[in-house]
Amino acid sequence: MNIPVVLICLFVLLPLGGGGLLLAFPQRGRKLLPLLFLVNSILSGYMIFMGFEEGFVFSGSLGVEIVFDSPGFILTLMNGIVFLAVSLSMADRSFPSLTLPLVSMLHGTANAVFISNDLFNIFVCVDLAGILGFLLIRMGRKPRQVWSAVKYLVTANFGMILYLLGCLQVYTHTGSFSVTSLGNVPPVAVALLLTGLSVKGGILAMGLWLPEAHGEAEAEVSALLSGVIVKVGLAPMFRIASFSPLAHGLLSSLGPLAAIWGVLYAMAEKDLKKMLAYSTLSQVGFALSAPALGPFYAASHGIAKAWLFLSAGKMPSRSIEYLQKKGVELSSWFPMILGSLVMAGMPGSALYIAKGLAMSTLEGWRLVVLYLAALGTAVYYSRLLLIPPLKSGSFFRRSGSYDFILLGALLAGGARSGSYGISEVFSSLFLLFSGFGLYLLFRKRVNPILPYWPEEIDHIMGLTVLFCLLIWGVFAL
Amino acid sequence: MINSYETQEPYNRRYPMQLVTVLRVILLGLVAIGLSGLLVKRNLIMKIIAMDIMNTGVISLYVLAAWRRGKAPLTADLSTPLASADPVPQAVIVTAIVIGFSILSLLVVYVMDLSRYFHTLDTERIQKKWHR
Repeated sequence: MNIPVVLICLFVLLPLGGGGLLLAFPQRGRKLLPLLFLVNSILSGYMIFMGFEEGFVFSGSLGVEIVFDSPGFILTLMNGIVFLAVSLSMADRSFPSLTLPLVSMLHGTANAVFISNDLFNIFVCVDLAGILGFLLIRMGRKPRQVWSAVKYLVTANFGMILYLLGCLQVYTHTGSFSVTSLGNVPPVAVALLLTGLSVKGGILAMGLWLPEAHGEAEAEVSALLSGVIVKVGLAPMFRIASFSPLAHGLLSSLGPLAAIWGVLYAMAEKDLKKMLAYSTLSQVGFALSAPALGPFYAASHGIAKAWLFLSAGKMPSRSIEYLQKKGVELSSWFPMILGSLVMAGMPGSALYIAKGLAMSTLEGWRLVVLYLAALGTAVYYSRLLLIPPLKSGSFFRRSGSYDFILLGALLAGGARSGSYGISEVFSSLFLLFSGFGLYLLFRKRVNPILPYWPEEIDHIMGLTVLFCLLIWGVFAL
Repeated sequence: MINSYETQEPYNRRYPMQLVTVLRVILLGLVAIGLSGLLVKRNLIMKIIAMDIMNTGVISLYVLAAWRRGKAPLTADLSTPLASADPVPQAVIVTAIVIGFSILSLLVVYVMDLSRYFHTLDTERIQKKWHR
C-alpha cells in the first residue's frame, strides 16, 4: 500500500469530497465527521511518532510537490484536534445547514496547505481557505458579521495578489514553483511572498482584520479562525524561511516586534473575544521568532486558543469587567482558567515547552523583547484569572468532552523531558507571578486606549503596501 | 529529440526585445492603477473593480512571462519542432483566474447585502456606523 497516496486521500481528498456529500446526507455526516477528524489526528500523531518523511511530486515532473515531514504532521495533528473539538462543540447546537460542509472542506484545504511544498499550490489552497473562512464568518448573517467578512476577504485577496506577483518572480528566475528553489531568487520575490502571506497570518498591522472578524463570528468559527486559518498563512512562511536565508532573518526579527505589538493591543482591550484575537496577533510573533520551531509553537497555540474561544462562547457576557464582577459558572470557569494559565506559559503545557524552545534559540535584543512580550502575556491573561467561579452548577459540562481532548493534547505536548530544569521552571513561574503582580498593582491606575484607525480597511491595505516596500528596501541594502 | 528544441531559435527572438519590456511596463502600470484605486476609492464597488483590474494585470504578466522558449506540445511531425510558448505559467494561471472570478462574485453578492443594511457603500461611513 502506498502510504503518501493514502495520506493525501485521508487528509485532503476525503474532507473536500465529504463536504459535498454532507450537503446530500446531512444527518449521517454529522456523526461521521468527528470520526474523520479523529482518524486524521491519530494518523498524524502516529506519523510523527514513526518519523515518517517522504517528498514526492504529484503526477509528472512539473506537477505539485508534496512533502510529508514532521513540521507538517505537527500542524495536521493540530488541525485534526481543533476540528474534532469544534465539531463536538457544534453537535449540540443548531447551525445553518451549510456550516458542516464548509467546516469539512476547510479541514481538507488546511491540510493541503500544511503538506504542500509548491508555491502555486499553496496560493490556490490559501485562497480557498480564505473563501471558506469568509463564508464561515458571515454564517450568522448579521450585518456586522457581513462587514467584517467582506473586510477580511478584500484585504486577504489583496495580499494574495501580491503573493501571485511574487510567485511570478520566482518562476521567471528559477523556472519552477518549488519552495526549495527559493535560495537565490531576487529579494523582491521574497518580499512579495512574505507580505502576501502575512495578511493571512496576522502579522503586525497586516493582521488587523483579525480582531473584528474574531469578535463578530460565532465562537466555533472564531476557534477555527485562530486555530487553523491563521496557521494556514503561517505554515508556508515557515517553509519559505527554511529555504530562504533572507526570509529567515527577516521573520526572526519581525517575530519579537509582532509579539510585543499584539501584547500592547491585548492589554488595552476590554472585550473578551477581541482580547483573545489580539492575543493571537502576539502569539503569531512568538511562533515566527524561531521559524524552525514555529510549527510546534503554532500548533500548541492553535489548540490552546481554540479552547479559549470555545469557552468564551459559553460565557454570559463578553465584557471582562462584567465577568470579573459577576463570576461565571464552574463548568465554564475551569476550562477558561486552565486555558489562560497555558497561554501565560504555565510549566507542564505544550506552550511552556514551545516558548522555552523559541527563547533558547534567540539572543540580544530579540530575546529581551520576547521576554517582555511573555511578561505582558502573563499580565493580560491575569485579567481572566481574576474571574471568580460561581458555586452553582456542576463541574463538568453536559457535552464538554472536547475540553478533555484539548487539555489532553496540550499536556501531551508538554510531556517532553529535558525542558524541566529548575531554572527553566523557575523563570517561567517568575514570569507568571510577576505578570499577575504587575496587573494587580496597575489595573486601577493605567487605562490605555489605543487608536482604532489602523483597523480600518484602507489603512490595513496601505500599511501592507508600505510593509512590502520597507522589507524590499531592507533586503536590497 | 529534446536537444533539437534547445537549438531552436527562441520564440521571442522574432520580436524585438523592447516590445516585451514595453508590454511589461504597461502591465505593471495596470497593476499600479488597480492598487491606487484599491487604496484611494472609498466606494466598495469601486474597490472591488480596482482589485479586479490589479488581478488582471498580474494575470497578464503571467501570460507575458510565458512568452519565451518552451517545449512544443506533441505534434505529429517531431522532426521539425515548433517554436512555442512556455505552457506552465498559462496552465497555472487558469486556476488563479477562476479563483479571482469566484472571489469577485462572492464579494459583489455580499456588498449588495451590506448596502441593504447600511444604506451606503462608503467604507468610511460604514466604519463610522460600525464603531458607534
